[in-house]
Amino acid sequence: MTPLYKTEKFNVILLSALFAVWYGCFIPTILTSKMVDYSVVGLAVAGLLCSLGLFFLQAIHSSKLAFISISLANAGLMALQMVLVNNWSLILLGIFQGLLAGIILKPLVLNSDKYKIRHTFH
Amino acid sequence: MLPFSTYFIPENETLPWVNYLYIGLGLCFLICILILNLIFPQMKNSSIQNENSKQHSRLFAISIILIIALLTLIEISFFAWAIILKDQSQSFLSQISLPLSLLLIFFLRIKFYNSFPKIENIGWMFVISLGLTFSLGLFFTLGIPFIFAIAFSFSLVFMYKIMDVFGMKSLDYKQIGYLVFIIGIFIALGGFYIQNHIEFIESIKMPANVIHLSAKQAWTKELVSLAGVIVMLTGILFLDRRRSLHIN
Repeated sequence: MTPLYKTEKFNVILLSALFAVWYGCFIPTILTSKMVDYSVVGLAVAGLLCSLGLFFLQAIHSSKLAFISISLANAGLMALQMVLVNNWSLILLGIFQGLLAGIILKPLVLNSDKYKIRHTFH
Repeated sequence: MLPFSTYFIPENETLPWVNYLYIGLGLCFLICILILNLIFPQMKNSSIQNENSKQHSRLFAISIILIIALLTLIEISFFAWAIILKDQSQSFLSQISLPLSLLLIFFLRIKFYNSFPKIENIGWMFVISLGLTFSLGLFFTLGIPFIFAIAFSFSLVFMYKIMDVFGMKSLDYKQIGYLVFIIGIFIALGGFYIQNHIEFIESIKMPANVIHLSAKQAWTKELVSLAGVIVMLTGILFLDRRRSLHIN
């Protein structure tokens, strides 16, 4: 069976690409057209980082169900953003993106730690 | 997708396929950023021999944790706002300073993190922290992209290396969580600051094409004060180490 952390690395690349498109293309576009202001974008990025931080602070064990439901929520909020740019939905999207990042990153960190411990003691 | 490509393309338009090429290149750079920021360098198991495996004082340990937190904060905060705030007022060479510094960080971390010779004492840490301050406060503001990219990326990468040498411990989950949480709050404050700044410069009727540049420079100026705190912390580390050597 493929170790979890190998598939998680692929997920990190996908997640990075998603964030790259979102924060490199979409956010500057809606900022240029003055649909939202910079404080809302700051709050959205802060929501992303804070939900990611909460994922690390709490002993949450992610499941496949949580992964799928948060991915679907992300997709739904992104689709909503495409047709209707709203301050609160942008902040909510940031929070859900942070949760998705937490689900993907936490096992990666966990496995890298296990590797480090094994590497140290053998 | 067009605004993204303006990182690399001057405002006068070129062929459409060139735009897509630059978008692709830009995406690759951004993926590099995000992966670099997601892989916390402090979690790496360093192969460098730790010259200070003895017990450190509490002041020393706190200073090291603060320096790591400030470095991570500067790195993420600078890149997050540099991606969002794109300016079209400068030359092509100035616009490539962001991707260039990211590439340099990437290569220095991958290739030279453990092999660069003899950068492993507190004197170097002081010099490098000054380099970080100068690169953000002087070279970035004066628009010298190549020197900025070299000094900024070199400083960020090798400060972590010296931390490794001086007994940096891996952060546990809770510490990472708190650190990310604090960075998030700082970025939210940055959003309010930038919005306030942009409203101000719009009110004094500055040209529209320099608004993003001005906001980015104002925000970077705030980050320089954090780099200044790092310089002070390296001074504390230097004095603490000197005291402990004197006692031994």
